[in-house]
Amino acid sequence: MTAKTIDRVFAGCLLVLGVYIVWNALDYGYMRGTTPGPGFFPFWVGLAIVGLSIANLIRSVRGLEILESQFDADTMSKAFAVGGTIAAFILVTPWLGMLVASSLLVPSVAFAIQPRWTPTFGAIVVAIAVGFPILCHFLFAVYLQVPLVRGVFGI
Amino acid sequence: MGALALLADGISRATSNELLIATFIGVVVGLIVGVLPGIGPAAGTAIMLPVAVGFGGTAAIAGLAGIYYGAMFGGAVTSILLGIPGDAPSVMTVIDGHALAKRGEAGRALGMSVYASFIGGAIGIVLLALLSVPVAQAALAFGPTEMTALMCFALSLVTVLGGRNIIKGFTALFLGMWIGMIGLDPIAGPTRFTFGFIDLFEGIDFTIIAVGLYGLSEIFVSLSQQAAGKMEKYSLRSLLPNLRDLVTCKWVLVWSSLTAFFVGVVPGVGATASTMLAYATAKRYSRTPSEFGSGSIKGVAAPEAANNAASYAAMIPLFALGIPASGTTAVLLGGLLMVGLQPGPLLFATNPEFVWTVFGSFWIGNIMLVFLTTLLIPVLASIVYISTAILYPMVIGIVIFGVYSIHYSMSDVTIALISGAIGFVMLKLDYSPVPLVLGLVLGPLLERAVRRTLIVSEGSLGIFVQQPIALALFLLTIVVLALPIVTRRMFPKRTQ
Repeated sequence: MTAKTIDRVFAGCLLVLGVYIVWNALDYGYMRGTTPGPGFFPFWVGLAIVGLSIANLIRSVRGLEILESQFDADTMSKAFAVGGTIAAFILVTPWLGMLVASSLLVPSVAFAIQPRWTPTFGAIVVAIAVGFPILCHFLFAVYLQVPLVRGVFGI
Repeated sequence: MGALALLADGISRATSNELLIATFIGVVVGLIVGVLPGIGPAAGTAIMLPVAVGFGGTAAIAGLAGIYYGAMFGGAVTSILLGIPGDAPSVMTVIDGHALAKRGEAGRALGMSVYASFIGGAIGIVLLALLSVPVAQAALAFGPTEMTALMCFALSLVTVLGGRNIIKGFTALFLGMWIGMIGLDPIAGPTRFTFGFIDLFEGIDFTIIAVGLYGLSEIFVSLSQQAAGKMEKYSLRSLLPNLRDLVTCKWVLVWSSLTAFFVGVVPGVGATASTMLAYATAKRYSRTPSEFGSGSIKGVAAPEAANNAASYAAMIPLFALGIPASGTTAVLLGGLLMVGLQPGPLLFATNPEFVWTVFGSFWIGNIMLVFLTTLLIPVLASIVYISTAILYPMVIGIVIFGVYSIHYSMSDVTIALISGAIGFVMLKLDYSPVPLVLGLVLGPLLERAVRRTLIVSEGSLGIFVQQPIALALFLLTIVVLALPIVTRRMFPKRTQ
């Protein structure tokens, strides 16, 4: 997909969101007697999003939007891989616990960014993967007394 | 005795061993809290509240306040080096501070953040001493109508902060305002736009969105642009601060501190809105506004001076009226009550020694922070030497733990990730994230003010033009909104 197409899809999504906001605003109640209700402010915000999204769509269709960024697979793959790794961390944390999951997160993100590892680089990553959860334990769990998510290993 | 003489007296009392230790612990904890993404000064002071109260009396409040302004100093570090705001008020520092770091001038940006924080803090403390009672009374004149006008004026700054595409800037602004509406309706009570998720009932914390929108999306954009694990090369000189910048930015520093102080004194506005206003003003009146956003040193000076000045301004309603103007000052109010003091106008009459000693400790803490952070600049700036394949996994890990620590919820981490993904797409499509943040911070304040005004007037819109302060602010808003259109018509070549 080109940047132009994604721009139009994004503007279209915002248009749908605007309609959804206006629809729900009317449902919450625009006015309650003589005073504004919970839907008063969302109604106008939703309406503004609808109007601006239509303007963005028109500008895009007319070719008035000049986008310099690219969305090709090569430039996007690393961002997707890192995002996916964070999503995987969120999914496994309730089972593994935050500290164990973070020891897996560190090498996974490092691999997503740099798939080819030299022995020195590998040693650094392993050291960080071991040291990072220990640091986080002392900083967050001990010092700041944050109750971190514990997993099946009890940590 | 005059206010400045009382302040000098307070400074001499604040140099006692007990107060020096309490202030030092406070500023060091504050620096750490500010550096950690997600954990802002409010959470930092709340966590340390039981420990600080153990110091007793003046030392407790000196320590807690030290965390507050220490965090204001520390928040700039990750903003500049990694593009991740350590706390909400340092969001504006990301824009130019990180751009400077990326082009190899991290030390210069960090140096300016230290000088600006010190100057903003010094101006803030002097104004706090001089104006604590009269300015607080003036702030009380701000009813919901004046607040509506002030918020409209602040939102009109999207014309300055909205990036090169003004329509997309306004779209992001309203998107931010909608995100700010998620959760319980502040006046009538029902939940709005929660999609049935209980975690969304209390709304989405601004810091979570800011960390995702700036921090994670910045990492995603950086990864989509550069080669794998590419190590940035910088000279040793880039790690050192540049004193000449102080001369270049002198008026920006003074003006931003003054603006932020008077805006920050209004309860509910806070340091974040003050930094946005200071940045927008600095850009508007700059001879080279196009440099803002791509690494202008004035773009670092303005928000950093502003957030420190505003943090002292927030002490005025707290000490003089007993009104907490922000989340952090609410915790400080709790601290004052826990040590047996009732803040308000009577506090100055019944416990003047306490008040002026605490104000004196602010001055001592401000000087301590300059020395601490100046010593640390070369060490901190050397972070940019680390390969992204080693740095980013640690940054992402700290972001995750920091965001989780706000409400002890993994849902917040999910929201930060979603914000990061949306921010990434927005940056690629030329939607500036700054207006979104502006809408998120000011939208809920505007809604509350508009609805309260209309409740008072029973739905009549005439009330908005009947109050002179409100009318003046509305006229100013119209001027700010119309200015780009008029400028474009009158000077088409210059605007191109």
